[in-house]
Amino acid sequence: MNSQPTRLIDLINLNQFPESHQILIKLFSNNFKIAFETLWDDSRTIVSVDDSITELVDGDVFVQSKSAKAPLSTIIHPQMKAQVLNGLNEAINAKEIFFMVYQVIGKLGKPLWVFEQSQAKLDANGNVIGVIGCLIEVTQQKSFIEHLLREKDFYKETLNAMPVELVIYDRDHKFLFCNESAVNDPEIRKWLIGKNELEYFSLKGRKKEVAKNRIDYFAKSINEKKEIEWEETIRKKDGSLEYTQKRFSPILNNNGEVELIIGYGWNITDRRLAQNRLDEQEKILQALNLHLVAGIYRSSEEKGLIYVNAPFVKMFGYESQSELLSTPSKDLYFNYEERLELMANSDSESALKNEVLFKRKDGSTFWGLVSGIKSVDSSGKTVFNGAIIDITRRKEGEELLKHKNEELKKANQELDRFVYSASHDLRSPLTSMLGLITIARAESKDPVSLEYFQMIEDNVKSLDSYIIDIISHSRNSRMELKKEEINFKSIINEVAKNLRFISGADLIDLNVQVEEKARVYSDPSRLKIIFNNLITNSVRYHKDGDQNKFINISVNTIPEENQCFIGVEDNGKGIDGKHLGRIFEMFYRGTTQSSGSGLGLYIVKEALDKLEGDLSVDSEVGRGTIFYITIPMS
Amino acid sequence: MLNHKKVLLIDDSKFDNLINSKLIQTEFKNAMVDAFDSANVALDFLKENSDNADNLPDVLFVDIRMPEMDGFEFMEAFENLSHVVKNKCKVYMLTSSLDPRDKQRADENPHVLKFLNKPLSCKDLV
Repeated sequence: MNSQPTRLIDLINLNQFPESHQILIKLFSNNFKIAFETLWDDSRTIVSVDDSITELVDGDVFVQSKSAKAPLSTIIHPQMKAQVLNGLNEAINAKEIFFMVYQVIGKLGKPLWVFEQSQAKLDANGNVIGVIGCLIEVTQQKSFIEHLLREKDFYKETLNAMPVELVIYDRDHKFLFCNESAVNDPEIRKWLIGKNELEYFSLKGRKKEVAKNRIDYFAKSINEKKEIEWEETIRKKDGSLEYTQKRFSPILNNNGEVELIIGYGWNITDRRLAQNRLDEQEKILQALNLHLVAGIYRSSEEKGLIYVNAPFVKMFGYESQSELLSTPSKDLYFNYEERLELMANSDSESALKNEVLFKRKDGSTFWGLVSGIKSVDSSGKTVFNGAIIDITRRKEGEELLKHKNEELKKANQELDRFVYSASHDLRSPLTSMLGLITIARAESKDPVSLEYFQMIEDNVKSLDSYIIDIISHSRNSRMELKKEEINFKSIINEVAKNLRFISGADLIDLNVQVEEKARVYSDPSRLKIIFNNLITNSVRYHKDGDQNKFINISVNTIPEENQCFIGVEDNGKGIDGKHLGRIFEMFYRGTTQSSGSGLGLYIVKEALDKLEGDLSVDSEVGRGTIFYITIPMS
Repeated sequence: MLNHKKVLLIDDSKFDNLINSKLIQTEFKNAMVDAFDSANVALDFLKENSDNADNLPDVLFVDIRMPEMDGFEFMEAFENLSHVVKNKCKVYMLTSSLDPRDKQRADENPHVLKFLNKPLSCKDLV
């Protein structure tokens, strides 16, 4: 308090600071008091006064005037006299207690500050018949009062707004002040002044143990005249814990006695909870470190391994951590070059992952998946932190899978060869028969025989196309996609060329419209299968004897959606609605007129599935059929 | 097209050789068709007549799947025959194989004029 610069200020009308009365009365309760009674007049004519007033002011001033009932106003500093009297009159009129700090002319003309507390003396009817009160010399405390009262903003707002809990106690551990952080409710704040800790705790319904703790620390702070700090835990109404760092700071007066205790409190709940979480994580890490199957390590370039966990030691087949840490790094690698490579490729941005063949203590090897990251330790040296997982079994699995895959590929190729070889052998006699029919037909004139030849030929051709269908399906389901830029016109023309010998094909107009800009990447062999089957159907099921028979094929693209649309339309017989839902099923044949194998559209659907495309159909009996195909452009 | 031409069929199936020669002669009345049921024997014949252009066929129809020497092995040996043979003899591969690898191999061979699927259709030759 003495460090505060003393300012010469005017008197302080404490009636402007009603909330401070209790504090000041407490503060000055040990100071020397001079009781008095005066009349309520302008000069404050003394009725009676303690003799001790001569301790304060020169006896001469008073001795003379005592008998003559000299007025109290005599001693008031002339410049303040009017204000003191006005203040007194206002307080009496308002039936309030008058509190004021003002200057008097002390002994030898020395200016002194006094604190006056007085009130009206009333007669039985309630009329004011005088003023009674006391004077307390507060020259020494003046700067503190200034500090406390004149700097009202600091006192009220700054202290209140401080994020720390701030409480001022008197020596008896009674509240003189507390800020908003300490007690939020303004009503309780007001109520609290003059109360002690236990009263406050019983108001809040809190456990007394905490208050008793505070009382013990308070006593310690007073006795030892030292700051005391401790951590307080309070269970709040909602059950959560609130942690507060508390401190009692004694404020000494000029005599070296404790005058006030300032209590601080910081809410450290967040910090404490974070610490608790950290502790918990530490525990988890420790547990993981012990029981994890991953070997965890830290190493540096020159020293090699600096730290390893227990699983690491076990993984490498050593007895103890110290034994392993004293083993040269090169003994841990099957191929030491790999360590240098690992370190060279490490960076601090992302974890490096490598499969490395390691060596155990007994010389056996295992595959480890190393994931490590480069970082800098507290002394600024480059270190590598990481983990090793034993992936030997996975590696073995991978090898097995690779081997199986190779076998499968081989089996697939063999199957492919078998399919063609078998189909060749199946087709050979058929083709011979077809040739023979052609010859027989050329050499016969008998219409009945010719009709029989035709029937034989139709059946042989049907069997032949069935074989071709099965090959298409077999190829489609096993062959990988081979994508290239598609020339639709050439594919369709090639298909059409192969179909030109089907009876009636020459009577059908094939119109192909391909959008110029269409650049589509897909599998040509599968597209060929699709077009072949759709066009074959259109040719096969055209309307006999009809004029203007056509097959219209259009290809359009929407590059923004990566979609290619293909339409295949004919004006043939059409498909009955009751069959439409099933025509893509395997071996489904709609009518006895269907001469096919029941595989064609199934193969189309399967091929489109491979191309990640889709198709739908629209048809009307007697009008024709249109297939809508969608395939991705790339 | 094959009129007045010497045609040689090489196919292990005698039956097919018969049918194919009939087919050709039905369409091209003046074609002279011969047949071998072994590629080896056919090769020997070509070798013996490698300098005698008059005896050499104008057109060869070669099957692919044959025992002992298949169509492609025959074509490898054909490559080593005299220029006279290679200049005169036009080769067609004629097979009932649907294997696209067979077609590809045939298309890649410079001495093969065309890959044909059985049954032989004279429209293919026009």
